[in-house]
Amino acid sequence: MKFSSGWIYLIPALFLLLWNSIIPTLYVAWASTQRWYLTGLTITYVGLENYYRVLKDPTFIFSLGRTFTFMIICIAIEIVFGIVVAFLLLEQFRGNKLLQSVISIPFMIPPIAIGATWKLMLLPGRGPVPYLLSSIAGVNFDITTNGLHAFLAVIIMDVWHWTPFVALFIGAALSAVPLEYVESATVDGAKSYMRFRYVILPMIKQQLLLVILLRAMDLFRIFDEVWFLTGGGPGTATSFISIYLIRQILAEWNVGAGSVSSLVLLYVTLMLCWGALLIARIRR
Amino acid sequence: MKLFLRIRNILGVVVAILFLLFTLFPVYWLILTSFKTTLDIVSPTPVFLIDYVELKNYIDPFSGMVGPYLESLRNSLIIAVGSIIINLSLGFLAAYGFSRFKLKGDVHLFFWTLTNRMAPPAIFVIPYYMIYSYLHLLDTHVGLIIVYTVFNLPLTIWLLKGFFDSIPKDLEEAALVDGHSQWYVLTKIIIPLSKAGIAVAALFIFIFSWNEYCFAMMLTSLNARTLPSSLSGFVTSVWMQWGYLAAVATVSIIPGLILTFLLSRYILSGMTLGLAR
Repeated sequence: MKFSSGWIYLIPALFLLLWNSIIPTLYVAWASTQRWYLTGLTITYVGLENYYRVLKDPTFIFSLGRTFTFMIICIAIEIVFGIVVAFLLLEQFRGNKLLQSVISIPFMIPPIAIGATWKLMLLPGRGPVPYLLSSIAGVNFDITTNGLHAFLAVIIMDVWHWTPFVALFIGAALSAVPLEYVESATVDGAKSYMRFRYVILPMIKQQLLLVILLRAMDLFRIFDEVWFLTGGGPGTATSFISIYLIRQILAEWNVGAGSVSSLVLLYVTLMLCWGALLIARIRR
Repeated sequence: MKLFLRIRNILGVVVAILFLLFTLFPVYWLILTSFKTTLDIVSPTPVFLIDYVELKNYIDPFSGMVGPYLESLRNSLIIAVGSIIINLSLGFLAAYGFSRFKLKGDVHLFFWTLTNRMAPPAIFVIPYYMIYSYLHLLDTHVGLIIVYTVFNLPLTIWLLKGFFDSIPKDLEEAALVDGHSQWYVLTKIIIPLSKAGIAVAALFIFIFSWNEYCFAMMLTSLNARTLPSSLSGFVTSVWMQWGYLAAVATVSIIPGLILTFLLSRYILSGMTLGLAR
């Protein structure tokens, strides 16, 4: 078949993707240099003023810090739980396939419904979690007024949402580990911890790194479920970077500043994404 | 496999059961709440089992008594199906191109298409809002269909390319030698042989369009409002109708509940564009 004929198939899709990735990026880059409020009538060029204002804004710095703290805590919990569950899923037992499907439910349903579900679970005065916490531990768990409680709630929600995914991902990597290696280590007298640390871990290292990057990417841009559960509050306790951005647009109508935060969000995500693809390609 | 932790140990069983409970209880609680009476919902002592099934929470929102939920449900379906159709037509051709032709730089191009899937929706909100307001596409079905098509195209291309790669080239070459057209090859050989792949791609597009919230919230207001953005309307309403909220949320998770089982073999690779194996 002729060399040129192949492009005909690609052009419609590539055109759409190119339009989607280049035009919005250029648009945001241009908007970031304008003083532009949706409520005002004029758009003026202000150079780097928006960058200066956003990057010096204590709320922005706080959001960025919150996002990274949230990211690190969630990834740590999800990886540990994920590895434990992955080992259980490796076992051959009746209902294994069913179990794998059942635990996939959290990441197949709309994130906004997850926010709603956890709102029902955590609502002070009605939800089962605050009820049990106050009757067992005497803690007054209230996500609507206590910033720390809201932050913990968002972490629990994300762990619930994504641990099954991490477990399935690591499970797929574990099932590729050759059984002989593990067995010969057992014969050599390696304890289970040592088998994991020195035999299994090095063999799933890349997949582990890959799933960490994928999670980091998703956590960095988390929006839907947090928006529903806490709206970024109370105050700014759960105001992650996407929420900060949407607040800039919805509350301040500030397109220029919103564009600056958009670019920050875009570049951090792209770096994580390139990292993930790089690892994936090295393995091929 | 004698690895690390085993399900036959008591510890393994306990961990497995706790994890299953942790995963399922919130879903159970959501569905249970949707069938509770208002009295049970607001009770200060949570009610874990109900003996009376209240259907009012479903009937009111979906019969048009409160809120636009019936319209939202219809919009969600129209937009998901519309995006499946456009997405599959474009993705099918592109996947065929990537699978069958050796083009200069096509590997880089293929990976570049995948990065498109990973970009955070929130950053596209400003440019899409502005461009759509010029083009009068705000709050239209077509507008959201275009957005969802673009965002799911990489997934379709990647999924279908995998299926096409497994179809031997000989069949097509034989058909071409026999004097059949390229169109004949696509419609009579490739489509019938990759039916499974097309179905999987369609279901994934459905679920991603159905679940999406950020764009739906910013780009629609009334006419093209989807179920997730209607659902979020509950947050801002002054009087919280928890029963309605639970019922609408339960309806919104139904496709996910069903497709989890239908797609179970493909979920992991579909969610990660093949990065997991």
